[in-house]
Amino acid sequence: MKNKFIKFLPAAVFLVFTFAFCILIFVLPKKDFSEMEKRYLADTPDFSAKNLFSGELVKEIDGDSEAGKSGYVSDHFPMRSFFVGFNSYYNLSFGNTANSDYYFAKDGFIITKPYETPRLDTNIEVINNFSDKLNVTLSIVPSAGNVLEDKLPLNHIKYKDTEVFAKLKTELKGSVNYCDLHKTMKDFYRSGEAPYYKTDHHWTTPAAFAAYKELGGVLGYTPTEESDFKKTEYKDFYGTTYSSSGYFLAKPDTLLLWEQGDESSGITVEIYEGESVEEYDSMFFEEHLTEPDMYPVFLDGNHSLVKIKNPQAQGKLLVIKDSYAHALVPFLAENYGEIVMIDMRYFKENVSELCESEGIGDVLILYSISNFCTDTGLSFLE
Amino acid sequence: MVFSSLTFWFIYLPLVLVLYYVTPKKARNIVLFLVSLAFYGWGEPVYISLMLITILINYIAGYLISKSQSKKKLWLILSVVLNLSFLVFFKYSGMIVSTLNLLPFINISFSAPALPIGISFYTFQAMSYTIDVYREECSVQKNPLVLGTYVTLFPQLIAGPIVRYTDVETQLTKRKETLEKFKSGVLLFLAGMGKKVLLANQFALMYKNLSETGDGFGVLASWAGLLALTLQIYFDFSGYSDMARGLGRMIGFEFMVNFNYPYISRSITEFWRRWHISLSTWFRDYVYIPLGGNRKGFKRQIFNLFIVWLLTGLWHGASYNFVLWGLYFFVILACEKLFLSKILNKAPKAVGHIYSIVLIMLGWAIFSFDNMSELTAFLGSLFGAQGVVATEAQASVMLSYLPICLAGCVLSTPLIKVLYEKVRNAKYAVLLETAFCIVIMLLCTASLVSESYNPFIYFRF
Repeated sequence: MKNKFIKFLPAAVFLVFTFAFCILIFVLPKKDFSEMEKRYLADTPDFSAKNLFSGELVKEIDGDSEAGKSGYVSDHFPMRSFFVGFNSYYNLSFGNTANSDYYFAKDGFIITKPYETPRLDTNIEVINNFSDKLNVTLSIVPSAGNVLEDKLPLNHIKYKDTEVFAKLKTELKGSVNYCDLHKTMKDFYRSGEAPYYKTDHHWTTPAAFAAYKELGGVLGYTPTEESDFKKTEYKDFYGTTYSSSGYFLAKPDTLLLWEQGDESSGITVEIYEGESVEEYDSMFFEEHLTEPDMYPVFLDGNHSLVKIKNPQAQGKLLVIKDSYAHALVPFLAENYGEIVMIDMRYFKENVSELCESEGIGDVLILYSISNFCTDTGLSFLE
Repeated sequence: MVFSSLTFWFIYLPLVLVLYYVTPKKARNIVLFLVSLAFYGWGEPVYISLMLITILINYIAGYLISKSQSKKKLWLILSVVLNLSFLVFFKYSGMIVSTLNLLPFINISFSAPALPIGISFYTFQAMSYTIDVYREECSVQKNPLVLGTYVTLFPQLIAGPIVRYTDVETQLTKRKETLEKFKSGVLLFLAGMGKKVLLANQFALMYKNLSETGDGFGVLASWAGLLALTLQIYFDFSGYSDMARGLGRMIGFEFMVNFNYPYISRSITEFWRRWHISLSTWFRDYVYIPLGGNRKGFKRQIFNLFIVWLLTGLWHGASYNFVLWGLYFFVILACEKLFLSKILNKAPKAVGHIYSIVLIMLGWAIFSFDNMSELTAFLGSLFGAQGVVATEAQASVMLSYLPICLAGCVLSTPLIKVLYEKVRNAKYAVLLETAFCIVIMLLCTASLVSESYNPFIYFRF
């Protein structure tokens, strides 16, 4: 009897698999938000007749690739992250990684693939023009793929950092103070330090500090000594390259916070979003240290406009930046009475007028190379 | 709905299986009819009415033809005209109007209706019933529900095989669902799912990644791109046919084999005996032979071939590149009939294989570009018009897809089938089958969960 039925084992396995997931889809509790993807998952479909006949119901269930919306079934599929990770490693095992946006590099590094340079010329021109009005310093953070080239897998495309930095040197006008971080980061890496996280695209706190020291020569301040900082380690940091690549077996990073020894420095942070202003008495937002992606601990991540005030220092500085600046600005805050930090992806007002009303003459433009070569927000700079 | 979606596999299919098997045998066709309409209406519920009208027309036509010997030709012509006019209106009206608008004195403003999925497939199926009743190759179906079940049967509804009524006539009323059939259905369904999700979708991405590098196609890169298209089209379409046959077996049906390893052909004539067999036989039986086939002299035979291939091209899509594609094969097949076959038969086997696969691949290039200037640019790049061999980015993409391309090439041959035949009666065969199921299910589910990207290239049919 037993032998007779064993030959139907494949059918039984198929039925168990199909029905188990069918039932689990219906009974498992649903999450509203995916922390890994930083987005809200699809809402429960609206089973109304109107929705059914307009075809909307189907889009809510299956997703709508034209509108770029994912469907309820795939968003809430049981063991979803297991399957996503399984798929990533399956493709990796075949060397089939062309469709991924990341390189699975040596020693646990997950590195963003090379960028294109569609906006490079425009952005250089915008900065050249802007330097006629204000005292502009430009500094670009090289890509992890370029600095950590020896970690990349054999089949990779070359990063254009060398060409881009050469172009900056020749095409920036004399009125732009240029601070070269390409060499700084390469030297930093050669000295045995880790300039970038393994599971996140950002640079590490010590790397940002090395850049801070380098910038002192151009901006004209005396950098704080490394020994003045109290260093705290935060383990289990799973960053953006981890969550978007699907390489879920990767080991987490450790994030370092370097804080000034005396906490009574009196630094305050004002975050502006639209009409509202919130004031904080620390540059480190420790609630983010309990999340998988800890990087927003620095200045609470991306905001349109942020002011950092230090009553114990003098001078004002405008920082136009992407998120790489967040790890660096806390160091700068020791040297300026007020830093106004804007993000051109969200800040849509006239920057010259802002400088005039704030009484600012010095500007630091700090971008990662990939954003600098692709960002369209910078073209609003005038 | 498409088979290679989570909704089909994990919601629709289990519900259908439960409904089907808890229903007593006599009422199972009602269940099949209703769930098939739901399957069809998923996404485009309005077109269910179109489907019902098609069923009604062919039911009435079949009935009238069987009733009256004298007027049966009239009823046949009427039903064929009605069937084809739906197809022409929904599929070809846009093409016809835009062609007319090319004339300087005509300017029609017209927005073409959305194409009801599978209309080319089910219209041909429905017509085969009416024509076969006329030819007295089958008896009239008095139960509209049975005819409705035949036309809407969800496994082959939207991408074939084009099942002829005579082939499933008895199965529609007397079919036996057995565990044996169910198991082989599961294996076939999963094999098809694997072809579609793990191969065809990957080759689609390969072509996309190659063409999106933006610096034009080098010679090597464009042939790699064409290989990707060639493998994608085969695994997509034959995967879908396998899933259809597998699903059919799960509910007791047996449909014809639609693909028989077409890429191992040694001539284009052989290729068309192995590619989309249900379509070629449909055109043979309902167009070529009625036109006289090869019985009315050689000139007439060539003319008949021309008509068949013009229509075959058009059937694949309402765009002139498909016409060109059909005529391309007409020319090759005519040459083979005239003299090429003799030469190929004498030549070493390898010559026939290379000759066939190159012509087939060039055919897919014509098939894939509905924009003529893009097509000529791509054909040019195959022969070095765009300079370089491949850009750095394209070389990286090609290297990345190399293993799966090799797998695709091997799986286009009967190698696995031959190996499976050798072990299928062994004691451990069931373990191999079970392992195969588990691996395919995990990989396909993982891929489907990961990618909302799931282009289904046969939708335009």
